[in-house]
Amino acid sequence: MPAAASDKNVKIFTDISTAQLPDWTQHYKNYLWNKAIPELWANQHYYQYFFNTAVPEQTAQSYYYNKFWNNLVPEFTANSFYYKKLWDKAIQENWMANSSNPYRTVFWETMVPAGFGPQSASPKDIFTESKDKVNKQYTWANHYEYYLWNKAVPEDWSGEAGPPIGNSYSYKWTFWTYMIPLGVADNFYTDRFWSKAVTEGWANNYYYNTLITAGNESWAGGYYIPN
Amino acid sequence: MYAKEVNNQAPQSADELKAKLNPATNPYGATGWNYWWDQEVPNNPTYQAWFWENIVTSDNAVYSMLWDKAVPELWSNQYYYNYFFTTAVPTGMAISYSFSFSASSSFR
Repeated sequence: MPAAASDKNVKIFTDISTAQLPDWTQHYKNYLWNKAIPELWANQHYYQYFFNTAVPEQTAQSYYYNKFWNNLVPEFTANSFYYKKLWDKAIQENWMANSSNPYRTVFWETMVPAGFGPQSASPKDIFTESKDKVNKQYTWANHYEYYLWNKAVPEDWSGEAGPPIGNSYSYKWTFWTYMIPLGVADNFYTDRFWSKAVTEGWANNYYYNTLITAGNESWAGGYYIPN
Repeated sequence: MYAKEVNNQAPQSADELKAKLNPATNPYGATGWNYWWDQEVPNNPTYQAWFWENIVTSDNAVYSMLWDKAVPELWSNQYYYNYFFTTAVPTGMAISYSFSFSASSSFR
């Protein structure tokens, strides 16, 4: 059997390793987040397990689900690997649509409305056209909410020019033809659109300006045609 | 031959267990590296602690075997796979100062 002193040393070492140390000092986390997943180690084993099972199925008491949505994406871990995978791929390509937590559904119906993801970027480039920044300043505490309203929809993140075709999940199309008209997430988007985005000039008046012409746009689905 | 070639005694330290697990110092066989990976570490709490806390972070051969083979290939009835994803990562095991990968602030 091992010597008692050895057991004690292992125990002390274990206690130290779990005491509020940053991820990069913790071997398994450090290598998993920064190397094994983004570099597709072991024939993509870690990458596939993480995105296909651990996050959507909330394994390990939701550890990976929470880690992904609350840290890896909004903190731009691994040279923005997780951020890019989510925004450029998982949501738009509707990854794991038949799982317990499809990325697209979780994003639109949970993460944005519920305020997940601490805001780690400075939203200094918004409200520049606002007429009353002091009184109408909105607190962008949520990574997903900030990037959706100020970047993904106004900038039409998708790489596709022109109106979406077929089963498109571009942010712009999803927002204008689905979220607003159908009142998804207990009218979260609809209420915020009319009461704030349009009237407060969010994203340099993108929502106001787009609303004016939306009645004539095929991608708007006819919802915005004035009575 | 290697100077630290292992004997048949039970390991008394992490270094001795490391020698049991490394194919360079304990070739394949009835009590070779494969036996220690398949039978001893998964069933002995002391060995488990040494393995996950000390050996993987300090031995390139064991480190590669764990990450490249034992976890993805579900060795020993998924012991390494399960422990890795349910304990080692979530609990933040094993201090590692060998590398640091700082989070990037590069945006779109």
